[in-house]
Amino acid sequence: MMQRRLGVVFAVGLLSSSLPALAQRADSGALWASRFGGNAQVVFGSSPLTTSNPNRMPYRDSRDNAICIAPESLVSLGIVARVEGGSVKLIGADKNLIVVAARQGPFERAGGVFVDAVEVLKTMGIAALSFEPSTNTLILRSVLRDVSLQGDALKVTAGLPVTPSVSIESQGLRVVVDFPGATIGELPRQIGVSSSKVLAVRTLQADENTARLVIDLSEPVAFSWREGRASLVATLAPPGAPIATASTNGMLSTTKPPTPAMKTARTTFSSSMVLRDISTSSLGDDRLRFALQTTRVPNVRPSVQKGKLVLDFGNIYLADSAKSSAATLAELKHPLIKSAQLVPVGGNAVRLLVELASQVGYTIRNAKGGGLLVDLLTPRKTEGPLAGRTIVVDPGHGGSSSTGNRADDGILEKNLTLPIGLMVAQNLEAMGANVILTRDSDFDPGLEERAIIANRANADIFVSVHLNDGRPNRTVRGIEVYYHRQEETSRDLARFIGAKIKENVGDALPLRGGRSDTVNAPEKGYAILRSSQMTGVLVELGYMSNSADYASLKNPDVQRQAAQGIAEGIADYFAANPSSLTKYVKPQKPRDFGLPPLPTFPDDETPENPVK
Amino acid sequence: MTNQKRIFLALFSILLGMGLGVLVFFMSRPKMPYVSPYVPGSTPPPDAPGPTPQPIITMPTPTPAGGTEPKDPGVPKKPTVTIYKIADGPDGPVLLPEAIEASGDDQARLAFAVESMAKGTNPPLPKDTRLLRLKVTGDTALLDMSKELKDNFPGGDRAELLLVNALVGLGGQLPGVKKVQIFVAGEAIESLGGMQSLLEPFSVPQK
Repeated sequence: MMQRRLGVVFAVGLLSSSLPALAQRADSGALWASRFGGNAQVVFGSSPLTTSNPNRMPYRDSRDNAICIAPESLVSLGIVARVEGGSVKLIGADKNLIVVAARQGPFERAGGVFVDAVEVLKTMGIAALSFEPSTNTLILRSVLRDVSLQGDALKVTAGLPVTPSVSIESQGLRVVVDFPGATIGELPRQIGVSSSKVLAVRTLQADENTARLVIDLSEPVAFSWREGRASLVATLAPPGAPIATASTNGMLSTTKPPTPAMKTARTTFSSSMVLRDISTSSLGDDRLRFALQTTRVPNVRPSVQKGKLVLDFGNIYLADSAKSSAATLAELKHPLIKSAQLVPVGGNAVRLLVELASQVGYTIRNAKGGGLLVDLLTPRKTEGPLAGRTIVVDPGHGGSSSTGNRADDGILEKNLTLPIGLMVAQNLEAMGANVILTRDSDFDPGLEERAIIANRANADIFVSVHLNDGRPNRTVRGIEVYYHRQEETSRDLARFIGAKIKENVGDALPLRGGRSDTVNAPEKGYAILRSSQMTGVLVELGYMSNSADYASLKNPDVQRQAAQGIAEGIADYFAANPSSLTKYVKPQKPRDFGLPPLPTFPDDETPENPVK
Repeated sequence: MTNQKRIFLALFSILLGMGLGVLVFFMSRPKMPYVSPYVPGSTPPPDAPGPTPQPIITMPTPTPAGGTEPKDPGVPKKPTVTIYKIADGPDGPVLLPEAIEASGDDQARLAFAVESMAKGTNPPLPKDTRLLRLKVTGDTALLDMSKELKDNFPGGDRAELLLVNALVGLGGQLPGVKKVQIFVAGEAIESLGGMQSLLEPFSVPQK
């Protein structure tokens, strides 16, 4: 057993390490260093995974030698994918969900994202992989993950859909089931037997391409298979089924052909997830963290009702480890809370119910590796003009990849937007707002991620702080506040903010006013305003190319006044528009890469989940 | 030390302590909460007076269908390509079109245009940028630019906007093209300067 495991680990490691070595580098004589490393094939069984669109065929990424495949090509493996921003969610036939990074197709594969086939299949653990360098082909084999005998039912679970072929030997006392295109993976050689009809069940790898089950019987039985795809159940002599009898030629015959009848493949998948664990950690008396490990990214909408923070997780099942962890929540003591508990709601939902000791602020964000981090913070202010509002402040640029404008004296835009952004956040917090910063130090969260942070937080307002540059024209100067296209609420916000900044900074910076981002980015507007789904503006506080503006922008007093102006402008906006209905949600056109829609699992159907 | 000096030092210490106390008192005093002068239903303040912002790019005037007939029918019409040059605008630099003579197929003409837009003083494209490949799929032109587009990009919000718009305008002059996607050495990159996402095609501004 141990040797087998070591063998599998070694094989996977060998595959991983051999892929780069086996790579066919792009033609070094080419004029370009394209990420396109040539066409590739991904083959399962005897058929390659393809699409009708030549731009969506698999290819090699010349940088890391990954074999990239269009997510929709994985449908034939029972994997359904959905592209969300920079990531791709994939649900396998076992209903587990993984999230991998989306790879933007190179020039030769423009028009949609791809995923690393090896990463997907290894993460899902559903296939054995081998690589054929001469043809640039990744060969997939289904991994038999479980074989069990439950009563008279023999259940076989495979990572990828399998089509078994059954032959009867030894006068009906031995059944040999071959699974072409499959490996036995880490299955034990002998399967535990609990049926009186079965003497032994053995597994073996008949050849490189075929996994085999050998079932020794105490008496001839009929075989009836039900359900297809990756999970097969063979019932031995089910009630009412004819018992196998010896035929005239001495061979076993049954009234039903022994070849398993594959039912129509199920095409519905559950979006259910498993709560693997819940843990708490106290980060001082003013901070308490709940860490929830889940198999996918849960979508929760928190609510605070009568001093209780309620987080509902739908379509979720608790692993045993989570059940025991949940029991310990009752013993949790912390100054911020009176009690915490995880309560089952109905058959497949749970509720995290935290009774708060006082008014408490909270942040919810996705944890690395899946799950959620729920942080309870020092009591949130219930007073102030922005109490109850969530505002995302985005200090523009950051890190070495996005430095922004460079002034004549070498100072970079990113180094001025950060302190101003922090001051804006400080002012907003003083007004009672719940503030989220896209960055609080010198790094680049990424253009899309900045908007995703705001969308995930369900923020009321998004405000990005930038500085302008008009070179070679050095006379142009002043504050500009950009809104997306012709969004009315964002335009109003831009005017409130612009006017208040001007009021605060006085003559230090002239006001040029609010303007649509389509002036500078025709049709699409600024990416960050387009992708954020709430009322938002991008403030260009002044021109670094103008000496008067730049002197003001470097002045800490002016910075403080401008930051205060942005915060007060937001407060003015809410004073004039107190209703939450003023929130503007931009219609987001989903990216369409020809993927089938994610099917939903009917409520009355219990998903198969071993840990439920 | 004389008694006078002692008295002076004592008084000075007391006064200094009182001064510091007053300073600490005022500094620790909670700041007055901001009270907005606006009430529900208020209209936002009027926009700042000034000229209407000029679009960052001016597209060339479309030629009538079938093209302009040369004045002298005997003189064949010279093939041209539209390039964009940086000019001074009220909000800073803007792009203005200019037709130059260029021969060859679409790729050759656009490659020549890119070369022209990546040299000289204050070019819209980073120096030495080249067009490696051109492909038109449906209504989208794919421009694969050399790595100099990224490596020689000087940084700056406006520079990035000018660069992207110049390339979109360049690709948008091809017949039937409504969108332009920019690649760098075969890659779709997220952004050059943190303002514009290059992961998806850009719509060509209305001509």
